This record gives sequence, structure tokens and C-alpha cells, in this order.
Amino acid sequence: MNEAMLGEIRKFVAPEFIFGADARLLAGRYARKLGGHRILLISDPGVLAAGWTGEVAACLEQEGLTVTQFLGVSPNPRDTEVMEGAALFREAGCDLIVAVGGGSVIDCAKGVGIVAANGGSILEFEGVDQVPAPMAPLICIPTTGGTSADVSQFAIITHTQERVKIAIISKAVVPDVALIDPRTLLTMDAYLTACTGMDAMVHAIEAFVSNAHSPITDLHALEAIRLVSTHLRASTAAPADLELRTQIMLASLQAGLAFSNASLGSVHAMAHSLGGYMDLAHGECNALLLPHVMDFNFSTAPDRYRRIAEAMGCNLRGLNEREGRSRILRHVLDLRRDCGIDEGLTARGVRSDDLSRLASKAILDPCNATNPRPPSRDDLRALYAEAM
Amino acid sequence: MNEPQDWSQLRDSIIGLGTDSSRRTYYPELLARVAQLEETRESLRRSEENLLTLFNGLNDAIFIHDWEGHVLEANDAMLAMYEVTRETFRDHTIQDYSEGPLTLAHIETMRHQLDRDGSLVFEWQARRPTRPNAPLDVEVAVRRVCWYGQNALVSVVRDISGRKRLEAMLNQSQRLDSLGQLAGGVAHDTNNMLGVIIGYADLLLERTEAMPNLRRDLEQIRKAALHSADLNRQLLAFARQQAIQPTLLDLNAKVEDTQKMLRRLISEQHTLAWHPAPDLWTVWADPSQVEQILTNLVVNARDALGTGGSITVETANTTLGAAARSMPDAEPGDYVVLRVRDTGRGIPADVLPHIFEPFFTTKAQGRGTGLGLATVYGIVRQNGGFIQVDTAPGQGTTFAIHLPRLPGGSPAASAGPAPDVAGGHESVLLVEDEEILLETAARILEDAGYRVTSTANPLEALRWVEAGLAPALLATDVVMPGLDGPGLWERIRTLRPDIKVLFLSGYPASNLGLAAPRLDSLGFLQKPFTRNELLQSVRDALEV
Repeated sequence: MNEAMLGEIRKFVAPEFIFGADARLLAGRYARKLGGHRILLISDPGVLAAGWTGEVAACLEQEGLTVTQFLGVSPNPRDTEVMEGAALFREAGCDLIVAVGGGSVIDCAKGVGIVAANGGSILEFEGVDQVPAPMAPLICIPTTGGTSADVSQFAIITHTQERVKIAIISKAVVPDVALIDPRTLLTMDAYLTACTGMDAMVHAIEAFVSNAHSPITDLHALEAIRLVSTHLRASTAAPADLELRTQIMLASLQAGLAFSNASLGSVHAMAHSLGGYMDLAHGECNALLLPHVMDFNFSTAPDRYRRIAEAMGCNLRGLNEREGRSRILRHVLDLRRDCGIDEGLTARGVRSDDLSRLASKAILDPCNATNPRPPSRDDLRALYAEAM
Repeated sequence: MNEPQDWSQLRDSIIGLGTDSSRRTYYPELLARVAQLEETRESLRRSEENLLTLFNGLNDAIFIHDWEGHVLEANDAMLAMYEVTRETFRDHTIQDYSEGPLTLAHIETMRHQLDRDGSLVFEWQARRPTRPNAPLDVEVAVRRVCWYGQNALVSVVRDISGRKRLEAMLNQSQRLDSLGQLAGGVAHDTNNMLGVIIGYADLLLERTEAMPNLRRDLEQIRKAALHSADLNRQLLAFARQQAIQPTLLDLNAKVEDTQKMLRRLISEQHTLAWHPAPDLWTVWADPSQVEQILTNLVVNARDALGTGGSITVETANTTLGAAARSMPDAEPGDYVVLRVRDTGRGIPADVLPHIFEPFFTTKAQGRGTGLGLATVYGIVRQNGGFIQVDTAPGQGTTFAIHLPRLPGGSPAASAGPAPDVAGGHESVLLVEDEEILLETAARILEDAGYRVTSTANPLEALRWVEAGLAPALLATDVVMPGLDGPGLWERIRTLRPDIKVLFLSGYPASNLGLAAPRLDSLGFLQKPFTRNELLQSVRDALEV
């Protein structure tokens, strides 16, 4: 703990959450208790195909609630999709939102809630504390292990015209309840498991090295790092293992609690820009950018990276700063590769012409504010170049 | 592109230490809204209470119903008018509450008119489910209403049966008035001709004493003419143009006088009861007209009885207040009522509106003229009274003749017997624009010894007097072109103040346009007249 933090007062925000197998089945009871009558059920075609959406809808209807489904959510949810969902919410006279899906679905649901309660365009709420009126009750049922949007105060929406992701950060978007059910992860394929698992890892690492970290967030961050390091390889290899899925889901939750309160860093700033521009999966972007930002940050917070290495089971004892940095980077790269995420941005269609534009967008992202080493636009451009 | 400079401030807000990121409660706002809602609800409740009071306070029946005719809501007046209860009014549809069928065409027309005008008013016959055979005349006003989200109609139903009844009565009264005018005009013109026939018949009779066969024929002509004149008198009575001589009259005494005659009219199988009211007020009426009334009513009652049954004649005093307004002919005030009641078959509803029309009769050919009740009607109206008829099939009939009370006074002595007819030798100026009647009257007077100067032109008569003619009596028609009878008399009187006058008219004396006190001292003869009547009137006028 550094000196500057000793006297600082801190806040820790988390929604009510239920963790465990079959937690999703409590959706009906919670929706009713939260005063819902007509429910907007937001999901996407993939989750619908996996069967989770229909199951939750049935569970809501069993409680006598009216369900309207909105399935028009793509990976990296768009502003236009949010506006469609909000229009449907009003049109159907809904009073409660249930989101069943990954980070995209949950972020879209948050956007729908904001617009339904406040009017206007979702783009008007970009930034910190820009949401004046509280939204309708929101119940989140995550079906990926990594985004943690179900417990966070973040909503990331793609600005379609600008091809960039905007971040909405507000207590108003913290869900009313999260029903975190590891069983929902069983339908994820190996690559999605790897991407979302690495996402959780990035959340935890960025929260731990964040200049806004606190003792409480540290606890959750380190535990998340430990869980992902220990179980992600195995879970990727054995997608049907509920025990392993449970560990990854738990890691995701812990990482979420950590970053929601300590915020993130430049990995996310850059990933938001990259994902918005190339329409790449968020977890994948994070995984590709993580080692380069760690390299950039290491010298600013070497002690914290050493503790991260410790939690990863990567031994830095006896190594100097340069050696330690190499070792931990290698460790992360190995994990990434072992889980099946290989190659760089070039392989994903990014051209060197794009880098300046990506950097220009990324530097505006509020996640940079808590990066341990404040980056410049050029720094970010260089980091993108490294990740090619 | 600019890089954000103040990362630390952003950091503070991200970690939730910014002013706007502290948790706030919406509880006070909620309480305020709930209080506001309660207040609104209370004011709504009061408003609804007031509206309900108004709804149920109206005299018109109000239905809220859908297009299929199901009744959704109704007010207290509806329950009363249709004789249903709050529990049962929804058991019936609008069709059940209508006397006539409500067809699809009806409904389409209504829909069209409502679309065009927004509202719709029509007359209808309502049906009370408990009394299906007693329809009620109503006026219905219909509007569209959105009744708790449902497309519905509000029908306001007003009972207009009272108004309808009054309209019918007024109609009858007006019809009788116009019939009266027509009948009076016809009778008046016929009277002149009858006067000529009777006059010449009388003259011929004087000269044919030695020719019995001719005399018999002449007698027949005279009899027929007199009978026609009698019919005419009845028509004039109906037309309220009968010459009358009203006096202060004790109705009880008059009825008492006629008892013997009335008993002769009815047969032995019927009884006639007479119940005079004590302390009966006096009236101002012509005794012979009262007799006419009684005779007609008793004859009608007798004809209604068939075999057996009774007729009751009674009198009473009565005072009419505001109730008079529900009867078109009546005015508030004190009345003496002469009631003739029979236990007969009653008057059917379809006949009732016509009973006072002249020549309307339900009796067999040759048994009635159809002038009996018309005469009664005319007489009563002429005397400022009115008639109430109370009847129902099988329940008998009561005619209640109301004559206005005359305040104070005692019944006058009845007129004495007519004196013997005598002629004379005085000079008479005779003016009558109907030349043939002029000639007849002149002949009668000349034959009786009078010196007659006659003309059909009143202005010529005036010129003669101006030129020095000095008759003892002016006998003149009343209505004439150029100068009427009273006008002629006024002019002549300025020249010959001692001249006597006898007016001859088909109209009653009261129609002369002369003040009543003066009439008493003037001679008046109703046309048509017999020779004796003319001679008597001339004598009387000369001897005033």
C-alpha cells in the first residue's frame, strides 16, 4: 500500500448476487419481488439457441409475469440496438428488465434501462455519473465467465457512426440483482471460454495495479487471478466440467467486484477502441493487448506485479525487475497460448494505417485515468504496434 | 486530438467519490407522490360522489349501454320510469325497454347521425318489462360515450306522455274552434234563407185559411224550415254564436225544474239519481242552455246504458289551482260543477278525441244528429267553462261541466210568459242587405198594420232620415256593407234622438260590439225568426 492511499476514504459497491448452480431459476421470484409485471427479456440469438433464454422466460411466466423478448443484440452492442430495445420497452409498457447473456447483452440491457428512464440517445450518457434518473429494476443472468457486467457499474456501447466504444460509468447501472449460475457456462465453446477467462484475468490485473485499488478490491483481484491461473487451461480443455466452470465463474465474479470498484487501465482503454473499430470480441482484444500494457506499466508498480506473479503461481524470487517483468510476461503469454489465443492484431485484420486512429480513440477512454502509468497517445499507438 | 489532462479528477469520480455518485434515496419523492395521488383520489371520489348525486337527481331516465344494447349503468329515474330495480335492470336489453323493434337499419341510421351531428334526439315508445302492454311516450337523446374504456352510448329518456296528452287536448280544442267557425258561418247564411222561407210561409198561411189542402202543404214547408232553423241553432250553440240571455242562476233549482222532463227521456229500466250539493255557488248562464246541456248529456247517458244501469246528476263547488294548467280550456278559479255520470259501456279511446265534433256520432243512422255533445261543448265554452270527461271501456262515463262561479247575487226570477202578439200602426224604417229577407220582413210588418219604409242600403236609409223621414223604429240588420247596424243607429239617433231600435242578426247580441248595459235597453232579434217573433220584437222595441 503506498503512502498516498493511507488517508483516502474508499467506497465499495456491489449488487445483491446469488452465486451457484441453478441460481438462474430464481429469476421469476426476483422479478416479482422487485415489482415487475411486464418484463423486457433481453438476450441474443446464441444464448436463445443454447436454451437459456427460453428457460428464463418460462420461469418468469410461471410467476404470472408478461414477457416481451428483445433478441436484437450483437457482440459489442450498438447504440442503435439500445435504442430499439428502449423503444420496445416503452411500447410494451415494461417495468423490469431481465438480461440473459454475456457482457454484450448485459451492457445493452443497461443502455436500454438508461434510455427508457431518461429519454434521449444512449450516446448522451457517456462518461462518469452522467445518468440522472435511476432505471427500472435490472436482473442479470450472465452466461459467460469473464465480463462481470452483471456486478459492475460499467456499460460499454459501440458508437456505430464513430466505430468506437463509449464507456458509461455510473452507480445507476449497477444491476439490482445478479443470478450467477456456473451451469450456464457449459454451453460455451473452448475459444469463447478462453477469451472470457482471459477477460476476467485482465479485469483482475488492471484492478490490482489500478491507482484506485484498495485493500478490499485487492483481495478480490488476487483471488480472481489465482482462480483463472489455476483453472482456465483445464476448463478450456474440458468445457463440460461443471466444477471447473464454477471456479472460472467465481473468478469472473471476484474480478468484477474488484474492477467495478478499483476501475481498470489502458488495456481496456485500448480494447474498447480496438473492439469498436474491428468488431472483435472484447475478451480476445484484452488478451491480445494485456502483455504489452503490463510491459509498459511494470516499472511504475513493480511490487504489485510481483504479487500478481505470486498469485499466478509464477515465481519471481531472486529475479531483478527486468528479469521479473520478462518472466511474468512469458507466464501470461503461455497461458494465453495454451488456451488457444494466438497470434496478434495483424492476423485479425488490423493494418498499421489504423494504429493512429485506434490510439486517438483509446486515449480518450476514462479507463486510462486509473492506469498506474498515465499514457500518452503516442504510448498507446506504440503499444498497438507492439501487439500487431 | 486532445488528451484528457486531469486524469485524477476522473479517477475520483470513477471510484465513486464524486458528488453525483453518492447514493441517493427516492423515498421522500415517493411519499410526496403517494400523498399527491391520495389527494387526487380523494378529490376524484368527491367529484364522483357529486356527479352520482346529479346523475340520480335528474328526472330523466339515463341509460349507459353498448351498441349491442346491453345496459351498463342506469340512474334512479330509469329504475322508477321502467319499474325495475338496481338488481334487475341489467337483466334486460335496450330492445326489452323499447316498445317497437330496434332493427339493424335503425341502429345504422343512429350510427350515421351520431357520426354526423354528435348527438341525436327522437321520439320513441318505451316499454316497461313488467307492464308490456302499457307503452310510454318518451323523447330520447343519444350521445356517444367512452364508458370505462368501452365504446358505449348514453341515452337520456324523458317521459313526454303528459305533454303528448296536452298536445292532443289542445289539438282537439283547436279543431273544435275551427269547426265552430265553419259551422257558425254556414248556419248564419242558411238562417237568412230560412227566414225568407218561414216568413213567406207565414204570409201564405194568413191568406189561405179557406184552402185546407194548401194550408197542410204550407204547414209542412214551415215545419221543415223551423226544424232546419232548430238544427241551425244547435250549430250556432256549438259555434258559441247562439244568442243567449244569461242570468244569475241557481244550478240546483234549474236541475230540479228539469227533473220531470229528464225522467221522461229515460226508460223505466234506468234509474236517475239527483244529488244537489248544499250551498252551491251561483253561476252566470242562460237557463235554457243549461237545460240543453242536461238534456243532451242525459240522452247520451241513456244511450250508453243499454238495458239497466243508472244515471246520476250531481252538483258541486270546486276550486282549481295550478292543476288548471294541465287542461287547455281551463283557468284557475272557482267553479260550479254539474256532473252527469252513467254506469254504461264507456267511451273507447279512439272515439274519445272526436266526441265534441259536430256530426260525429256513433249512434245508428237516424238516431242522433251528432250535434248533441258539440252543442254542450259550445255552450260551456261560451259561458267561460270547460268540460272534463272521465271514462274507460266498461267503467261508465262522467261528464263534469265546469261553469265559473259568479261572486255574490241571488238567482233572478225566470222570464214570464210571452205576451200576445200584436201589430201596430207606427212607422218602421227597415234596413236589411239580404233583399229577399228584407222583402219578407217588410211584408210581415205591413200586413200587421205598420207603415214600412225599407231599403237594402244603410246609407240610403241614413239619407232618407236626413231628408226628413221620421220613423218611430229602426229595424236593422247588424252586419252590412258600407255601414253596420249599430253605426247606422248611432248616426240616425243624432238626428232623431227618440227613435227606437231593433237589431236583427244571425249572431248573438254579444257580438254586436255594444256595451252590455246598453244592450239591455235595446231590441234584439235572432235570425231566423217567425212572423210572430218579428211582430213581438217590434212591439217590444216600440214600447221600451
